[in-house]
Amino acid sequence: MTAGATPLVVTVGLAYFAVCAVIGVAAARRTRTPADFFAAGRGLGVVTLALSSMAATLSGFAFVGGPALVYRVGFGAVFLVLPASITATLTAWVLGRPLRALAVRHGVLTLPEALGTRYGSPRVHAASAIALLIAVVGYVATNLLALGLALDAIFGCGLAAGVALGTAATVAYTATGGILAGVWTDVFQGLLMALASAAVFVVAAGAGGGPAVLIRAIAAESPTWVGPWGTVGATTALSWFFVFGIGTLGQPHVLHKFFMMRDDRVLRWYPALMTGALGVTLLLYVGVGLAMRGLVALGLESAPVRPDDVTPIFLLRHVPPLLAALVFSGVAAAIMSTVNAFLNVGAAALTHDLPRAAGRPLARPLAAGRLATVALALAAAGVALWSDALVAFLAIFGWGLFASVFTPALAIGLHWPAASARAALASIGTGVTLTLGLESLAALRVAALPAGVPVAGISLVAATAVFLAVGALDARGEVTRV
Amino acid sequence: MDDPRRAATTPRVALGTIAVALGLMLVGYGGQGRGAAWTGWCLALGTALAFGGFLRLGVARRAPSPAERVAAWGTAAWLAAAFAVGLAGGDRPAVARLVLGLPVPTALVFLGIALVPAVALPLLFALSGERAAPAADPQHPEA
Repeated sequence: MTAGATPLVVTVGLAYFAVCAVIGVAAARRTRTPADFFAAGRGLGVVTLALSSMAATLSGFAFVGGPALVYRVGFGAVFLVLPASITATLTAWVLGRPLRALAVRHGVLTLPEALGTRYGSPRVHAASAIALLIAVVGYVATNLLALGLALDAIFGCGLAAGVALGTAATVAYTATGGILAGVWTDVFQGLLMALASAAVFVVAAGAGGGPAVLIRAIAAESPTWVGPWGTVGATTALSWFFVFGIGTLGQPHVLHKFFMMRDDRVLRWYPALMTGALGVTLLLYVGVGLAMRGLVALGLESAPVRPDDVTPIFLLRHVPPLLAALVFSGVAAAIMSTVNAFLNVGAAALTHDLPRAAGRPLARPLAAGRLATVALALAAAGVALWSDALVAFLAIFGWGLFASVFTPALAIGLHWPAASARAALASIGTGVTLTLGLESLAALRVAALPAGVPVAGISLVAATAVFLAVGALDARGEVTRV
Repeated sequence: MDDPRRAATTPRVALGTIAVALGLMLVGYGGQGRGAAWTGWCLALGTALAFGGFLRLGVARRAPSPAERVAAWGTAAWLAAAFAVGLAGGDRPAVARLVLGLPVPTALVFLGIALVPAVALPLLFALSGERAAPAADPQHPEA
């Protein structure tokens, strides 16, 4: 990322970390039980739930990678985030109350445990926890690398030091205060992200004479860029909409928040708040990509050497310095809130899910959870610094793996009494095998799917189809019961 | 009061819709490999039906209210219409006339998908009485 290490950016960055530290210490003092550590003491109100879910959902991609993608492929890139208008209501309607009921009636703390409880099957519990761990390491490694780049841009400290500093800061409040510290800092981080994004969008909307001027200049160079599908075409854009829409029903770092609701009333206005927060925070994603592409087309800006420089260049050259400084911290905030959520669900899988699935719950789960958080973070940071190729590979399949593993067994299984543990295991196996297998074949250049057919889409469709087919076969004998 | 017969049959509608959506997605992906022109239409309809089917599944725990039915099938119909506008409008829209700074098909697709569901669905959810309904047993959600 292009360096923005001016004194103002550094000062705002330090102030941001100071606020996170204060919140983390306060939360750590309140964390006394595993329910506090893994489910925030089940005390979240609607504002905290919505803002922390939004902050966990949006990683640094919304601020850096997303605008770069819009710059490259045009409006087709918006199909990655367009489902945000529906997904909060979708998840609340399909999973909100059932997951909350599982938490209250059975003391469930995690998604793998929800599956294990639903199907009465330790094997489903263990299989989903293992699949979750595979994706978590990749997700955290990718985000720690992005955090290192962001901190290097803020402080000019170098990538390795940035990764180390980011890992230490995130682990400090995640390991001590658990998800309670996470959701409290998420509220601060979410507000920072939303305010910074809205303000930058206002600047972007006025760049180069306004959107109409920019659009006409871009269309003269690339007519498909301004079309509804961008340069990627309808198939790819629609596949993104499918995977990033329906796939939200399987994202543990976000759905995990439903276990933390104070009561059922919290759910009522959650979709409205969450959708609004997502919409505002994603304004930067669209605005900066469009503005930079238009400015380049008008000859008012030089083309970035790397697409990932789109946001930093726009911030440093077109945005007031204080706002630019806030957005740089907002990028770090977006990444840290996502890392916190993943570290927490990963630590829960290691110290809560796998021991329970094996029938041997740990004697000191809180201490184990803290240790597991540190261990996972160190492993992911090691991967991030060790191999660019491995990070790039791990980054590909996170969302798709979660979507194919959890969506069928959880979203359908919680509403289909006849769905069996066998169906859940078959769909989890299908999701893991297809996602890892097809992505590996593509990475090794052995075989690849046709352009416009994403592995995540195929895996989600296949895993859901297998779940329905096996579930229907197993349910045959039970139809007369109805 | 939950209607056990209705609750027992509604998942079949939702599951059937999801199954049809998956079939359309698979046909669309298969056609993409052969470069067929209709793949976009299969994916558009499949995606729209998938959203409708999952939303229908979410409201199927008890007899759904009219608002909940509108949420499920209205979302599917709205998405299908928006995607159809995009597919029918071609990938090189004219820029002589713009709406909110965007070419007309692009504006219709984006603003249609981004704004209407973002306002309507949360309101329908809040008014649906979801929070006041008796808690289901997650192990036997429709029993």
